[in-house]
Amino acid sequence: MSAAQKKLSSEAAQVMKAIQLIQLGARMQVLETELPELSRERLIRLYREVRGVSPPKGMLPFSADWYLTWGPNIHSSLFASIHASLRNNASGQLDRIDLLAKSYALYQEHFTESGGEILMDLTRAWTLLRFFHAGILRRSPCTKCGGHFVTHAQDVVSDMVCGLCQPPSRAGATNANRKAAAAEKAVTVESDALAESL
Amino acid sequence: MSDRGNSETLGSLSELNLAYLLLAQRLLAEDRDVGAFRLGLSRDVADIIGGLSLSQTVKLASAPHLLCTFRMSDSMLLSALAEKRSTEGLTHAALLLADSKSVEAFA
Repeated sequence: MSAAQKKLSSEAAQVMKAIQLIQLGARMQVLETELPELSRERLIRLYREVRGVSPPKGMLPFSADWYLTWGPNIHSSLFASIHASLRNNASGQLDRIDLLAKSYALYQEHFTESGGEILMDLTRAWTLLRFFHAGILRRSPCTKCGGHFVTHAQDVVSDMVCGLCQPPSRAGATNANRKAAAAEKAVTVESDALAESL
Repeated sequence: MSDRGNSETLGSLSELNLAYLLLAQRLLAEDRDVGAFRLGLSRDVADIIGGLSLSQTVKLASAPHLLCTFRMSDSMLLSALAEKRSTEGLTHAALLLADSKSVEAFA
């Protein structure tokens, strides 16, 4: 293969990767960092083609604390566990972008299949990996279930218990959940009344 | 156990083995890495199962014992079932499964 041909096919592979990441919800900053060979203009054009809208402007979410609140902690920990497992058992051809895309797709699949809401977008997942790399966050084992959960890297906690083994008292008490519970109760009351009248 | 009952049991075992091996091979062929993740197999074991010929697969499946193991330990199952909201239980189980050590080949 000549050098020019090689360059073309590697560029085509990069474009495919960019499309995959855009489909999963990557922001421009993710694309520019992970695919430095593609120009910004091309990435913007690709983004418009795939999503049908211009890429959002503005800063990326940058708070490491987001990953430590109850719901996001469970979500980001599941993603991190999938990512670690894929990385440990990867065949030779799995590069960084594939690893990110496949881990995120598996994370997403879990919540679409189990009927849960997807709290973490691909950009947050990518930022999480950067926080791990920078030594700001890390994965620590829960002393009860043994699963690994995202924690601050500096915290020295020997008896960490995860948010699933010991949910905080008001965990998941969102307006949406409350409304759903109320609706369920209303249906039961109605059917009880119906049963009585019969 | 009667002879007939025994041979029926062995037949169901090798049927299950074959179904498992064929499913595993299909998943690994579709996507080697995602397949190994779903099956809970290490790199080496995934390579061996993915590389079996049909006759090897059939021969392996005819073994009089089950080839796949139950991946959930008791504590995982308990935590999955104990959760009040079912999605949380499933998520807990999924996280523990992803964290658990995958099946390794003994070298």
